[in-house]
Amino acid sequence: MKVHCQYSGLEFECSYFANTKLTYAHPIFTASPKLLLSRVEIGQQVS
Amino acid sequence: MNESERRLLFLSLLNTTELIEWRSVALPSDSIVQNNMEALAKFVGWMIGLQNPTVIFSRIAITPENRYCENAKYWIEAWIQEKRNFDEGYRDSSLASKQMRREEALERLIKNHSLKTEDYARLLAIWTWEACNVPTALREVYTDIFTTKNIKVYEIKTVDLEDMLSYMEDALSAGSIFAHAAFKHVRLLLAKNRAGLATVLECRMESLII
Repeated sequence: MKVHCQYSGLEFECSYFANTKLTYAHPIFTASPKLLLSRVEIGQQVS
Repeated sequence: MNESERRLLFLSLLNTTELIEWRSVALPSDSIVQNNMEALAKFVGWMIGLQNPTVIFSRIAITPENRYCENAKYWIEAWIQEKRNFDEGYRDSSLASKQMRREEALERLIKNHSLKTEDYARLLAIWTWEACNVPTALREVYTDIFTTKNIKVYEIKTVDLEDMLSYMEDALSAGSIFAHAAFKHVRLLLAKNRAGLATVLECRMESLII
């Protein structure tokens, strides 16, 4: 099912199982800071 | 990485700071995300390595009024400034604690009358430059002069010794036993240096003849 992320407002696909609590935050919000930092592309500033 | 992925990455990095209170969704434009991503990443990178939990940062609430995050730049700048203040405070307290440990050690050495000042001259020099706040570039040169022993005293340029003493007189508060020991040591070096090697040799020759 599709849900809206409670932090970013973006829609994302979420697997739902009867016994699992449904999360409303995109899974990236549970990633470790190190993993997130490894995805940052430095030096892309726009005006 | 597309616009949505960049926004997710930016907001999740903000979230990892644990300084954000989410009362609304955040909808920063792509330019805000891209212009602030690097500074935020640097701050988060620093926070990961932070061991001291006593540092306190401003908390930001995302509300319907600021959900476009136009002020993201200022939030991050405020955190970076708080980080700088923390670093400076930490460095100052760390230096003060090191200086206190030096003083404890020096006190024992100075009060030990079987030792000469030149036996602990290096430690006394380090204490003195720290107390005088001597620029780093000068410390090595001054330490070499301060720790000079024996016949090498006569090889130092008198003007260098005079400059060093003058610096100490301007910057070092007299009164402590450490300052007293440092001044005494440098004045003795200067007196020996001014007297010159020839004078010392003449005295020795005279005593041998007698």
